[in-house]
Amino acid sequence: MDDIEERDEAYSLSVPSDGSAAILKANSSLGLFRGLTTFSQLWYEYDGTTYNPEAPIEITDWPLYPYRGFMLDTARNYFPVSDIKRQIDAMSWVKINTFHWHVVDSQSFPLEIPGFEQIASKGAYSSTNVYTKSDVEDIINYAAERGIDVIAEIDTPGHTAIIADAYPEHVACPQSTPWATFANEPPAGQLRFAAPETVNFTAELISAAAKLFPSKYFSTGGDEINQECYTQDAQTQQILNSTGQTFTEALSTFTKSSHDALEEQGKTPIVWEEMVLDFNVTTLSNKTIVMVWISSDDVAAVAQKGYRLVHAASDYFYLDCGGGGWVGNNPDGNSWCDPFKTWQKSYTFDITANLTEAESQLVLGGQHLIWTEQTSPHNIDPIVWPRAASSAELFWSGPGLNVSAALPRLHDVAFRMSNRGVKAISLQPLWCALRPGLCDLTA
Amino acid sequence: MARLSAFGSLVFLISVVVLPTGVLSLWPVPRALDTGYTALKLSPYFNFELDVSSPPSDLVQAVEQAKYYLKNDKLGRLVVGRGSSDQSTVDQAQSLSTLTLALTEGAVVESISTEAVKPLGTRSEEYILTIPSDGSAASLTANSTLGLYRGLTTFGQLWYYYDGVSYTIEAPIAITDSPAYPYRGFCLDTARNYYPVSDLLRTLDAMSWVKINTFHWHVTDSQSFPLEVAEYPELATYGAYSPEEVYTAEDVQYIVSYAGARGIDVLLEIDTPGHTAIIGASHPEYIACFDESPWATFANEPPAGQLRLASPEVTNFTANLIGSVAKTLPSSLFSTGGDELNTNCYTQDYITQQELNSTGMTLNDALNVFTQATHSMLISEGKTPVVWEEMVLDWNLTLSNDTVVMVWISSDDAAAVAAKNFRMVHSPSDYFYLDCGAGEWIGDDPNGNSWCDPFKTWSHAYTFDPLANLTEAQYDLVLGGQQLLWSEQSGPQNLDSIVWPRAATSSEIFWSAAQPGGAALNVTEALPRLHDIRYRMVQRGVNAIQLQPQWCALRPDACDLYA
Repeated sequence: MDDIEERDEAYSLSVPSDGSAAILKANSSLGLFRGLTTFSQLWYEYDGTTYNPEAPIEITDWPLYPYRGFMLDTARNYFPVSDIKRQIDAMSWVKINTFHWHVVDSQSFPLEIPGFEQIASKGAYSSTNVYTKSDVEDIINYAAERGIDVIAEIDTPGHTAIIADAYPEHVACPQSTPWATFANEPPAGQLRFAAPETVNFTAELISAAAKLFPSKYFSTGGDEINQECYTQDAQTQQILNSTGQTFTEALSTFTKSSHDALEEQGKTPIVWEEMVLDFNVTTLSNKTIVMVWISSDDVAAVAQKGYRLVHAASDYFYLDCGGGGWVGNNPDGNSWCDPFKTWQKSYTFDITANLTEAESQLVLGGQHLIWTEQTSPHNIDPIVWPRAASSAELFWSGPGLNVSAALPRLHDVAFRMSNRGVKAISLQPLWCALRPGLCDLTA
Repeated sequence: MARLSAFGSLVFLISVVVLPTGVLSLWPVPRALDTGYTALKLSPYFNFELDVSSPPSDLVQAVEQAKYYLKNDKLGRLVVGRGSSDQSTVDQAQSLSTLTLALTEGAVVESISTEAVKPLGTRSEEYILTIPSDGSAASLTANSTLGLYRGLTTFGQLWYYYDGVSYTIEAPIAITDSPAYPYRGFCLDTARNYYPVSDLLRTLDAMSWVKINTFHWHVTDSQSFPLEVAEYPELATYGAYSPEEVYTAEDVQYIVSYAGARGIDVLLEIDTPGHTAIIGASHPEYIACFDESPWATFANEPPAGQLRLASPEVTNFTANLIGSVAKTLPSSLFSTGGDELNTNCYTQDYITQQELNSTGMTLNDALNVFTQATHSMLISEGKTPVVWEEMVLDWNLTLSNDTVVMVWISSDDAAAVAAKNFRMVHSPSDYFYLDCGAGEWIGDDPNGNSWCDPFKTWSHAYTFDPLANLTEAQYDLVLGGQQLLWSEQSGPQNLDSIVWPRAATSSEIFWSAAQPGGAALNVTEALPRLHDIRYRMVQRGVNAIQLQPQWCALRPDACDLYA
């Protein structure tokens, strides 16, 4: 949980072929943990014997990028603590070091925040579909033991319809219809960011939530802000008119308040790209980290503004794409980010595309993401694994590796995950998995 | 004071009579359905009274199963509060203690399994279910034990649960139900990846809950041959992925009887002459272009390899293989496949070319001889052959008039099959393929895509019209339809979530075909019921996928496009 740039995950591993002791060395216990992970991937089993066919093995290893993440949305559908821990296990097996927890959203608010318990009590799907303070501690410790930092996100000011169930005064266009006028997906509802009471409320909420998470990073979100929602909100218009603020000025004030609260706790804020690219929020500290999601094409624009960034491109890393449209009464609707992003597609992501040498330094790393409108514990493992391991390799090992060489190793990881209780999906017929290369396009 | 309080209690009474906002969540929706607004509890002493003399053991078991589901479903109604707002009415409701099950006068008592495998068009699946609102006995009558089974399935979908009480809020209920089409199936490919028997049994359970009556088991293909055939043990010995990844003869019989007890006929498919590369592992001399490279020249997917259909020895082998398997199965249907024949494979096969040259046959002629051999073997065993559409649309073959054709390439091809006067089963990739939309699985192709992208949502499938482009005279040729899972990218890990609840869509298209009262099926009306069956499947141990955020599942229509 150190600052991203201060972590030391490097290790060296030496396994002689003569049966003498293998040696794992690192500069930190985290490095030793990474080395142990590698060591455990070396061994196969046949007829009661555990073995490796490729000794001697000499490994010197360290990650190219300090941020290798996985994001889970636990608001569109709920995930029990045990499911989250199982994801954390799988993450640790491929050296993913950040769990970006998109914990709340418009559809539900499962997080119990001290001082704001009402929101979960009214906004969680049920009294058992919650994350208590001790659940959060449990998950954080579980992750920490596996070298994983938990970065929570309370997405604001959009994506907050559910807060109206407990604090209607702070939410504009709550469940307004038709929802498509006021939001990207139902239900509509966004925080009244121009109202001073809401600014304070949000800063206190973020502050209280951030206290639950020891990470040095916390996301306040900021994506998909619907302007019509505010245009039609009398209260918001009245405030903007009477103070003479523009939309951007009010949003900047709102953002600064939450971000100051985070900085007071020694935390660095993280935001989605719109805050920088679409709304030109003027109050972002230059330490702010930006997650680029709409398209890989937007990376250069963010880098040009000098912000450190995390790759989260929907055209490469969104695990939910390709599951068809989920909105009702729309039989010919499709997934907005069709097609499905295969492991191979993700694997060919160009980390420094369109970036100058200097701008490339701003790239902290990247992550796969699962938005859960159509996902729940019942399919979480196969929709995430082993695909999310492809970004794990991209950002640890670096680009330039080819998909042909990678596939057999990815099959291997998937089978090992399966043996360890994570239901990784079958990437190909087993016939192919047992015959490296034979099911390639031109084989 | 007294008048004021009388008025007060009247107001209280009115505010308590809440009209149900949820729908009666049956799937597939019955053909004729009448419901009321009265709450009715299920008595803790509820029992089924089976008024059938010498009831077959599978009917007795079906009743036990029904009891189990009643006791364990514990499904909260899909509304905010999950039924807490029903409680004041439910508290005061009558209790239902009995459902009597009886056959109509003169009905012949046979086991469900026997009924389930009767030839298409001769089965009786209809039933009448009546549930009074006053707590007096409910009754289920049918013309067969299979009809009783169907009615029991419906009965099990009526009950919600809150705080220890099972109840419905829509009594009295009167249902008269029967399927619009005799064939409602689900096809599973167990060759590209293997599924343990337990996965098949769980899938059969889920099928039975939505009245799917045919398990089309695509058991072998080019990548593996898991089926143990007594007369040809080498096929599985060399062709299965491992000695454990097989279906023994006992497994197959168990699956057939498990299915039969749930009113499901097992239609086995041994796809020939294409899709047979793996036979080369034990009989390399039977296979043309065996594992040849580049595979794309010789097959639709790797590995390449097709039966040498021009060879009399291979033809005999295939006919005997099919015959020996088919005779162990009670179904009257058996599929010999016949899709995606690659002609390059034969053009470049010296042995095939030699055989064609020496007999003066064309490839089509040879295929005709080959097919007639396997089909006459089936017919001699009293089976009706089933084939994929290419056999009638792409090749000029003499097939028996009874042959059933599965239309898969596109829904557009149904008319052409009907024009040739074959009975058909709708299996179109553009509506019913469950595997579409998961990206390209072939390696070294990072920008490749699923050949049948996009993903076929339940609502897209739901708009399928079984009678599109057919003349009225051809309507009788439509036996029904099915959804299908090809398993190149599927296995036990994701079986439930990729199949359910989507595969229930076709069960309603081909059982209900219309809303009760005759209106066309409508996705807006259907979604809350599909959510319901999905949640019930989860309660029963099937990991059906979540169709929408739970917020939406609890607020019917609120997440519709124009909501």
